[in-house]
Amino acid sequence: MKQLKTAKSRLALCLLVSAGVTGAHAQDQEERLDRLESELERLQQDMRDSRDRDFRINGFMSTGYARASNDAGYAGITEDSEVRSQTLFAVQGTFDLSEQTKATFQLLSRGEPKAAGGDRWETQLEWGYISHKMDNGLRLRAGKMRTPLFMYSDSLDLGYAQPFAKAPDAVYDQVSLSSFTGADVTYNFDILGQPIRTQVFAGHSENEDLVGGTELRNTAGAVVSWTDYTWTVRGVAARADTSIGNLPTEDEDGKFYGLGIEYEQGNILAVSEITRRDTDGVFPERDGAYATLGYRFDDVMPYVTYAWVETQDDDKRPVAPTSPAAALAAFNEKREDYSLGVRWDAMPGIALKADWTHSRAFGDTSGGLSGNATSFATGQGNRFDHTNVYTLKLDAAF
Amino acid sequence: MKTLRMMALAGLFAAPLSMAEVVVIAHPDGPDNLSESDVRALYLNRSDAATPFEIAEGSTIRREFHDWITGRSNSQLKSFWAEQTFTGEGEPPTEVGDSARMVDEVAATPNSIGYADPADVDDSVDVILSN
Repeated sequence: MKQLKTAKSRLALCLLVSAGVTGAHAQDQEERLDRLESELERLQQDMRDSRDRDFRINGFMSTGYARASNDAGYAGITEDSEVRSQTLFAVQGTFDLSEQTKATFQLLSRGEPKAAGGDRWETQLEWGYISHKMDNGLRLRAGKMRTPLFMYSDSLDLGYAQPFAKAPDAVYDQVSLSSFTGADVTYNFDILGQPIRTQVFAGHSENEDLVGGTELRNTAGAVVSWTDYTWTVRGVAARADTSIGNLPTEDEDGKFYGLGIEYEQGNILAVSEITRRDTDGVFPERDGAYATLGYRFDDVMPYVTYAWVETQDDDKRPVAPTSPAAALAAFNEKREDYSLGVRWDAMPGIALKADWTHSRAFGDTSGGLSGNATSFATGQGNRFDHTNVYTLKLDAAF
Repeated sequence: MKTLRMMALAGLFAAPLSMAEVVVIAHPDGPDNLSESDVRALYLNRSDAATPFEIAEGSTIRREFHDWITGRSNSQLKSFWAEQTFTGEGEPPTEVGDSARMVDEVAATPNSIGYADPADVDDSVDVILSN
């Protein structure tokens, strides 16, 4: 602001000077013209400088509509249409403390599903960290950040940066705690001319509302990725002392491994992730994977996704007639999801998406669906052997 | 003979398509000796060795440049920069109105690069790559 004022007064000065030019000698005129030119240059420089703000604010939002063909509860979606749980709004601010140091926050407000009752919205500090880039290229961050387990972890809530209407549950449900509080270090370097990015992170996560209170202590992990702009390959390994509230678990050794591959060239987008979650004790060891293929026709991109998930240690949680063993058996999971969708970039900053997901092949498990989990736990009610979920979504970034 | 005429005819049709040219320009004091992949790295936030400028959306010169260098459409770029912004990785290049302004901006900003219609380029900037 201050700079703009200076620029304005300088402009006024220019006009004054130019008014005085009339009637002067040709030589004087030339001198004045030179002076004017240099004033103009300085003015332009001022405008450029004022562009380098030290605070930036950005936002994004999503809203949508989802309903299912039955009450199996895929991603919690039933025959009752859901609008609120598809809706979120976020504001992010970045303060530049110096050339190399920044503080970033993101406040995100999201609607709770119908089941929660009422018009409930929860606002959270989703990100809140300070980052510092050192002269040798190391970037250090500390505070609350996204746990970088998946390819789209960083844009988990930012639907606009995702090709699909929703990141595939088979993989993205592996670890529901999406943020951690701690620190990380990122370093980019070249090996034989190939750009490699490495990230090491450590911290703690907790959510009191999740499965009766979930806690990940002493989380530590590493991510390595490589890209040639067409292909991207990403590997991740992490571990944590895992406690799941309503299960007989305490500080179990939990491990996570993931491998992701992306191909983006011309009109074609192909992305796939394979993940394994491996926890000691009764909390299931679970493998999940998906592959998405999209083809761009200018601003319209149809896509197909196949996803698969299967728990690997079902014998630890046998089907039993009575609680609590019955409740444990509800964690057994086997499912295949087929999605057909389209993303339309309607205008700059706004994408509309439609998606149809067909889910089946639950075997003798609940399929990890909330409607089936209840019937597995109580031995009562219907068991669904498939479901169809229809989603319409609007994602915006600004 | 017939083949020759066909080729000439094809050339005639192909000419307007390949006519729309774009060159990568840089501040006279550098950077120089940049390869296509160096320029791509600058425009896809993988390098901060120089300051890149972008022409605002809707320009054919911008389209030409990205078809050539990054292979990303406007909507892909928009998604990409939204992700970069929200993860704190970086900000999109500053946008200028058109190709002529791009030349002024690059000429006035040390260690910057841009792209322009060759017709707009004068000796205030260096041409470092052409397609």
